[in-house]
Amino acid sequence: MSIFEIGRLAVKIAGRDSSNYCVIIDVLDEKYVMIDGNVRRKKCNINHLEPLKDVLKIKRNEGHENVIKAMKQAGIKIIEKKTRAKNKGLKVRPKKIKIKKSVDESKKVKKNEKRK
Amino acid sequence: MKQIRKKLASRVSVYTRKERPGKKTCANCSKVLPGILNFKTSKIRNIARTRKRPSRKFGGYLCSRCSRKMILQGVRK
Repeated sequence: MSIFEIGRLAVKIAGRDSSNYCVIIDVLDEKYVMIDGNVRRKKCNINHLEPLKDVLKIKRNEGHENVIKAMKQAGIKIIEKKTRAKNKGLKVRPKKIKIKKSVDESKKVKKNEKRK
Repeated sequence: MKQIRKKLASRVSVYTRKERPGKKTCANCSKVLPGILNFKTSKIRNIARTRKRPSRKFGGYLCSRCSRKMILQGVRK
């Protein structure tokens, strides 16, 4: 069995979630592996992972909550996803409505007279 | 601002030309970083941040290969 087995803790090296802890959920083939944890739940190339020494006890294709719980027991800081201001019920500044400047009719008349 | 002197028949004319800032390079291996707009800050102030540089860690400072090396050093210590 390769070092990338189910439950192995690893660090993602490349990509948007680089330098974050992740756990291997499923082994697809020699090159690809499913990961979850502080990263997005995605397929990942094993070259973009750095395995660590401890292995967590989780089943295959475990849910996100159980993976987070197992990581907390192993003593790893969890990064919460930033929820948008709207979801948190915070005060959201209303968008400015651009009002088109209405040119007075009288000014238009004056311009035409000048041209004649 | 770049000054250019041009010799004409009777006089020398001097005019200045605005230059674009240079391409950004990686801090470690000084390769040219892809995906970074090299305009004056006044021009790109209103553009969204994701279009100005990659959203990766060390994005816009290190190239992808050097950022992997830095993270590996941190992990293996």
